[in-house]
Amino acid sequence: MDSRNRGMSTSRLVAVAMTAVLVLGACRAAATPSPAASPSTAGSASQSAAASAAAATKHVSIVNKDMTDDQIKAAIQAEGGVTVGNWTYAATDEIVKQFQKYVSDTYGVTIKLTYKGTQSPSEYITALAAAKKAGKPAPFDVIAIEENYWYDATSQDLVDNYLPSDLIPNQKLVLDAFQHVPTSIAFQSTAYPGVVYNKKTASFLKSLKDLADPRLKNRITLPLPGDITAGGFLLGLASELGKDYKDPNQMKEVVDWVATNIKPNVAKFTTDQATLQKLFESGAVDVVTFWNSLARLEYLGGHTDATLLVPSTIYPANGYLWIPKGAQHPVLAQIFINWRLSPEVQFPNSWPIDHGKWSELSEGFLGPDYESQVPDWFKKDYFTYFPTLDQIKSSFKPIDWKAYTDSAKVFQAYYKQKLGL
Amino acid sequence: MATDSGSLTSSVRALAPELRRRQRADRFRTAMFLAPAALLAILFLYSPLAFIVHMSFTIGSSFLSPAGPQYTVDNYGLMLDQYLPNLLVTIQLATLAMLVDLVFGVPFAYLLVRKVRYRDVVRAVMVFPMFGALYVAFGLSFALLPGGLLDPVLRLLGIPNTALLFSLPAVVFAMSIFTFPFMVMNVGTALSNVDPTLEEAAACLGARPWQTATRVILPLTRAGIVAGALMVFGWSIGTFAEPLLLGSLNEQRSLAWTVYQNAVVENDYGIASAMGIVLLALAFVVTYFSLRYSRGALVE
Repeated sequence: MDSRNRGMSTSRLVAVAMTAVLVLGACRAAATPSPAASPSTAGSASQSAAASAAAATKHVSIVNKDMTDDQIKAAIQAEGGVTVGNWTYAATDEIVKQFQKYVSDTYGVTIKLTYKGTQSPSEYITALAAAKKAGKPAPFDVIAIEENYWYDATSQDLVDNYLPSDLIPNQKLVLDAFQHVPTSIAFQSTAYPGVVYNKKTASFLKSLKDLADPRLKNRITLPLPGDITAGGFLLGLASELGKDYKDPNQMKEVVDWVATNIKPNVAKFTTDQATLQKLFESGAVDVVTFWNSLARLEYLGGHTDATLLVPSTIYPANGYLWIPKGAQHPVLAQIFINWRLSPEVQFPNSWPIDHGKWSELSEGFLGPDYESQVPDWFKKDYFTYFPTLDQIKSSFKPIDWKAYTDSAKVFQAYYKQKLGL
Repeated sequence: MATDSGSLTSSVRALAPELRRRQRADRFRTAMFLAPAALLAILFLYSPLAFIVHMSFTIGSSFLSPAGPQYTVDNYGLMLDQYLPNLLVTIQLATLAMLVDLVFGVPFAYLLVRKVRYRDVVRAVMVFPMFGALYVAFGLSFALLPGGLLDPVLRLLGIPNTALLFSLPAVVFAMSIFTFPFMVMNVGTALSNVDPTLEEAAACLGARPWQTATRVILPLTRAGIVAGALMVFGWSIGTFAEPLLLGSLNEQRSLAWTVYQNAVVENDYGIASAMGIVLLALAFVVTYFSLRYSRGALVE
């Protein structure tokens, strides 16, 4: 937090100094747009960008240098590419194409974005730890996965400090609640493990406890133990049962409740999205337990009976962007992060993608500057599937990841044992 | 005579150094021919194996820790205490797949070798599922879904889709299809070496078809059947895709699947490696006997 405050104070000082410079040389400054800021970045971000442009240098984190735009271009040229680790479903050709185009248009440099997808993000942590132990550079420049993995990586000293950075003016668009300065920043605000159900066949479903209803015999799926999908689901249920997730013994009681009451209804334990979609869409099951994004993906895919069960307490597990220590392309990594946070990438309305893909890339408002971005085609239903910014601020309970990690070691193992896996 | 024998002995003695030199040269040449293969095996087979053995004695992901690995033998203790049912489920699945292949594979091999005219076409059709256990499991899962190929049959029988879709029969069926060619090829090879006139002779002597089958064909192809069964069993103990896509909670306990969960999802490389070693040991024993009986089948 300290370094963040320092960073903000520095920005303010720079802004004041630059205002004076702008008065003296406004024309020149206005004619030199900052390549780091996104084209429509509003408010303080654009002020900062203009100020930085006027100053003609930007402080670039990790490399720890004040660089001119030409030096930044040269650094991008030298780096030549950037490798991002992200979920498989997000690793689309379009995101690659769009970022490469952005760098080409903004900096005049052709680069290669390599997107390495997995649905088991612990693979990234393993790869980074193995590289570190072998004394080799990190195999990724940016990691974009759930917040708990950032905590794991931080506790293994795998994460570099990069915030604030003049290459990431869009940081200012993101609410403080979604930042872990100096090591990571959220690119999602409303992601949580949730229950998606068919409102025609399971209309009686009002809470997570209702998953025990005998009418759902062989009609539901539950996540496999081991990762945050199961962890998040159990946290939500713990809240309904009046249990504290920080206490492993209370969480064991939650697991016992699942094993006794919900397990008899389970047709399949899986965390595989394709399998879940296949089962839900075919009507083989009425309820799937996965992530809240699946509800809107199904809805936008034409399955209008798909709806989201909103739990009484929501524990978000948003995706966070961080740069591993030993990243080989730190300049492009920061440019990528800034781009990913820009309103037009958070809400990729102009991209040639279908509504389903759109809904997978866009995960809520990171701050007030994003609220105007909701596309016309989704305005009517947007708040059925996404919370308002006020709801995000008031209803979402942040998870204490240290307490979660300690507790999860016990309750995940217990869950596994109860299932005999 | 004594002189002749003495001169022969002295001649042999004179030749001995030359023979020894040639033997040494032969051994050297053999070693040189084997060296690249041995080097490759050491580098890419045995050294990773040694790595896994090493890792199986470490806690969680401590093997990757900059502070160095923390050693334990508890992973093998856990195998006995907690994961023995997983090993038993693995053996159960492999045994059932083997039995299904035996029941259907032996008659099929007989028909293929003795009765089928376009044998190569049939063989090709039979062999291609071998190239993708995943495709077989996927195909079956879609067939069993509501609206799938087998949905009308399930409706007629009043069986809920998910009851069969995620079940022991579905997993065993998919495993059997995948391993079917191993059984048929082994039995077929053994059958090819059985002279068809023996069956004709048995028939001429009044043996009924079932008597010919049990007293002539089966004893003569026994080694091929055992080799096929062991090979099917060996392949099946590593089953992953079928329990993943078609298994209920019970079949999802198979060891290969559990290794994946522990290693890739939970980062517990210690226990995952110990499981891998147990699977490898089992596979080694099965492979040893399978090869032994395969050779027998080919010779007989």
